[in-house]
Amino acid sequence: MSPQLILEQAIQKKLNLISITDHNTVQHSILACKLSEDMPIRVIPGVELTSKEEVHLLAYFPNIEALFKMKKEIDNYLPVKKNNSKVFGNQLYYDLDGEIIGIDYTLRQVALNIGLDNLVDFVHSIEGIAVPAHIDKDRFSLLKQLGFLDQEADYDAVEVSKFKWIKEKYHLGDTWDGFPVIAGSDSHCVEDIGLFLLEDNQEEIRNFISLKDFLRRSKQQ
Amino acid sequence: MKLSKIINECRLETIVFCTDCEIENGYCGDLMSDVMAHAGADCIWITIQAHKNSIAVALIKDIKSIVFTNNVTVEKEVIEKAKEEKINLLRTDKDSFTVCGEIYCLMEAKTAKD
Repeated sequence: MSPQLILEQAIQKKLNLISITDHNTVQHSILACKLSEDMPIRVIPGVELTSKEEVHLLAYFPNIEALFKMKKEIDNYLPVKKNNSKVFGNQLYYDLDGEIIGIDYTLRQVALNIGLDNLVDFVHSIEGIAVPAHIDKDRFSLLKQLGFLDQEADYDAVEVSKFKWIKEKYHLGDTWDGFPVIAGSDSHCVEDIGLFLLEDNQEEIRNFISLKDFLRRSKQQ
Repeated sequence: MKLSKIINECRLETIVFCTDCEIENGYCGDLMSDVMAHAGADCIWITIQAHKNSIAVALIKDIKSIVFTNNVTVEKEVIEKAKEEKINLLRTDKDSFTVCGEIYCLMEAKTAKD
């Protein structure tokens, strides 16, 4: 899925704000941010990290520079292993024009050698927001791996699967044990984009800053 | 079986030692949701998950002793919490399979003798 295609589809589906969060890699998120500068859509730089405990953590950042800092941290902690394309498929690199320019041979579906709490602290140190991913799911989730949601933890929000979001009839601003709840579309192919989205009826959330602000206020209430 | 016997026989490194408790059985698992569901009280828990939630899970399940395997780093925060809650923390560079095997053999031998 090239960033170009993702953006075209998202615009066609009338999405205003998106984030691309690939596993332990940032190139396409950065490309999408650059591409979107001339497009009627806002893109928040982001990534989905895997902590040492095998908990997936979404991280969103105010700008590309911060995401670059995150990339360096990923490179420091990602064990050097080769991707098996038979299992995980080829990880293609695209350029700004949507042309394939290479293949990423590094295995990304592994845990970084850094604990969840330290990872959250690092994300915060570069002004990002840290959100444990799909906490209701059976695999790679905070609840499955670490048993429960520690109310004193420093997460900015928690993400649930879209199935949970729909089932529980969640709205933006709702909380789970005090943490604001969000949900991602989990789009893994172009056709998925736009099928699930979060409605911001107050039209408050326009970009990273207003998202961060919104989550902070939701958490305090 | 006394915890001290297991520590000596399996050559485990002691990080926190509060009480030489009686170990009735063991459990091995890295998914805390699974440990909460299945581990028995007074067991020795063998895991690679050295997170502070491990201490909380031990408390909930009345587990008094945890063995961290695979040479994992145990953060200061985890050690402090274990001291506070009186949970014994052991550590080893062996993997979970090996440690489980060693402890299992020890306990089986004792049961057979009794």
